[in-house]
Amino acid sequence: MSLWLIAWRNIQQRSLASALTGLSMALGVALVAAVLVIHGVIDRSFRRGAQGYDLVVGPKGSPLQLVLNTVYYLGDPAGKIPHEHYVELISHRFQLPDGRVSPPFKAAIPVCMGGSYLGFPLVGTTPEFFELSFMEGEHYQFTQWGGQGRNMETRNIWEAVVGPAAAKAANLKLGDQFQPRHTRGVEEEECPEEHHPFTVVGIFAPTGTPNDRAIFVNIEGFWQMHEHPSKDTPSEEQTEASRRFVSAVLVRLDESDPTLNAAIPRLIEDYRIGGVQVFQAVHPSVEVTKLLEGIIGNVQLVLLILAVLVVVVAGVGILVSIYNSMNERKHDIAVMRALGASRLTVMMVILLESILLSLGGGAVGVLLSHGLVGLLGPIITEHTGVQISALQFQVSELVLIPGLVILASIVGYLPAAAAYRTDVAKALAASP
Amino acid sequence: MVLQLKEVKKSFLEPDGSPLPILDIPWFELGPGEQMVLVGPSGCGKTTLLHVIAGISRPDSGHVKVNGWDITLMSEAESDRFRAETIGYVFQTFNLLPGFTALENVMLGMRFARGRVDRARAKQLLERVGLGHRLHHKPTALSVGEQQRVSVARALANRPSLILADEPTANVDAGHQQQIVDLLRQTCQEEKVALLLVTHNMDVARQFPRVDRLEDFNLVLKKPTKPNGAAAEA
Ligand SMILES: Nc1ncnc2c1ncn2[C@@H]1O[C@H](COP(=O)(O)OP(=O)(O)OP(=O)(O)O)[C@@H](O)[C@H]1O
Ligand SMILES: [Mg+2]
Repeated sequence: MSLWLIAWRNIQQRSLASALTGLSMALGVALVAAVLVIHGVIDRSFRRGAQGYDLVVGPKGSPLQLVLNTVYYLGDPAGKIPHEHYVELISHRFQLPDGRVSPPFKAAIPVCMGGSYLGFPLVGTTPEFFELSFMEGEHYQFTQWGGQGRNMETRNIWEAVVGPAAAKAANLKLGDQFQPRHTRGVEEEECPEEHHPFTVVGIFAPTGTPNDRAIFVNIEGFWQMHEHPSKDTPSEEQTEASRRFVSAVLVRLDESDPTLNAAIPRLIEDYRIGGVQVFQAVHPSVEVTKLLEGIIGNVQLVLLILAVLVVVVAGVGILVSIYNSMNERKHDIAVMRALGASRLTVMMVILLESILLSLGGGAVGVLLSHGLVGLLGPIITEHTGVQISALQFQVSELVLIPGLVILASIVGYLPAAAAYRTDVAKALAASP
Repeated sequence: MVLQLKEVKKSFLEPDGSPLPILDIPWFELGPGEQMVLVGPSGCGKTTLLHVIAGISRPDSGHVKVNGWDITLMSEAESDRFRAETIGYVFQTFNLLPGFTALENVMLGMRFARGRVDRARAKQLLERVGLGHRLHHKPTALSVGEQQRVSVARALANRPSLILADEPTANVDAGHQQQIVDLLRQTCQEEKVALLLVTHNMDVARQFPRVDRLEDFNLVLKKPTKPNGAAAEA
């Protein structure tokens, strides 16, 4: 018969008050756990998305906008890079500070943003996009783990590869044909003319990146789709120039070359075409870290503080509940003392009671929040491409255990001290 | 001797701060396995005496030896442990903890002693007091007489040398009263435990070989003319 059991019996003895205080603790802890889980999911998914490329090169402008748009398909494109600038960039050899001439990029994949299908972002790119790993050691799969079909081919300009989340939600299957909208998000903008439709040739296996909810089409088809027959017919040359553009270039560098990695962004930014600096080169992971640690981190900190306050309030509830019961328990405590329990023992029983209530409520709260995450997971995945499961526990959730024990000890101290001070002779004389 | 009191004095404070002497016992003894009854008018200090013997209250001066150990020299924690191991206590009523079953109430007594919690012995004791079929009942599901029998079992749990019973039959009807007295006397005899029982009931007292009146050995009650004798007259 351990002190834990004695504490547990005391809790059972006042089952309604215990259940209510435990529940309030559960809700508070569920809130904390939810904030931690969401924080972890956002953090990991953002970082995961940012890992595929060393540099994103785009037109001059906001680096964050560039990364958000090209890696996460959020917001509007930062601008356009004329196709010939792109060609010039990838064929240029930069002079490195150690005197070498820069080798060709390991990869430089053009991407074009703009347009959507049923709300899913449309990306014009080349088959090379799917030949590179999206994270270290992780490749796009078309033949296993749920992937279907094949990669698009350069010469078939009306082919499309669809992310698994987008395919599921938009009900696109291999062989399906679809007509995207020009500029995504604007519901009204109906295309006056029928385009040539794209054909789905591949759906890759889930990657847990934002790509899962994008639709990729051959960049040439993308350009032709955007080719509008305008009333004022411009010259043949102008049309050609304005229709072939890229939104950004996803660059991979030789990671074994630190000098190159360090120098290249500056060199690209300083590079002039027609006397003007036209490019910016951004490390996606650096921008994402800034974002996560800046705005998002602060919002989460505020949420976390609020959630912790709820837990503290629940702790105060436990204090009030146990403290109020001390009067009616004086006699029981005196009986235990008469049986030979020491002051410290009866004090421990009360402390353990507070700890049991807090930890029990906390455990229920963690289950509650993870259960909720499990229920909402598929919906979150569908909308964001973020894979999330009920069993994704954050290491930071472990802090809850010592945190709750400390809180319980603090709030349990007052009633426990009252138990410690109980005058046995007096309490025995008073009938309960 | 199981119990020896020497020059034990105990007084409480009156609301105005002046001392109110309750006990002044030059000498009191109880032999091993001896059974005695303590009688005295209400408010004469019987319960206070039992508290002092059990170490629940400290005397203002004097010595209380149980099994030869002077509990007035022990630290509070030591005397708590000592009480758990050597003294069984039965109160008038509300002996049991309401949240625990009969069996758990008996085992609770074992928890605070040095030995291990012996579930088998706890069961045996409850069977001995005729409650083998009520092991898992909470006190509220037991009659007052049954509750008192559980307390007797619990008092015996740690094989004590001395059982203090403070009017254990006061709230029990006449039939069950005899049952409980018989139970206490028999089990104490079997387990060779000394028994000090407080009662107002002369039918009960008559059955014991030794009946002490507190006023006979408590000097506070003997000297009505001492300086603060007003309290003693009350
Ligand atoms: N904590 C206390 N403070 C002040 N006076 C007390 C205290 N406890 C008991 N007394 C007084 O001490 C006296 C003895 O009390 P005690 O309970 O020992 O009497 P008792 O002989 O057991 O009486 P009863 O037969 O009614 O149980 C009483 O007058 C009581 O009012
Ligand atoms: Mg009394």
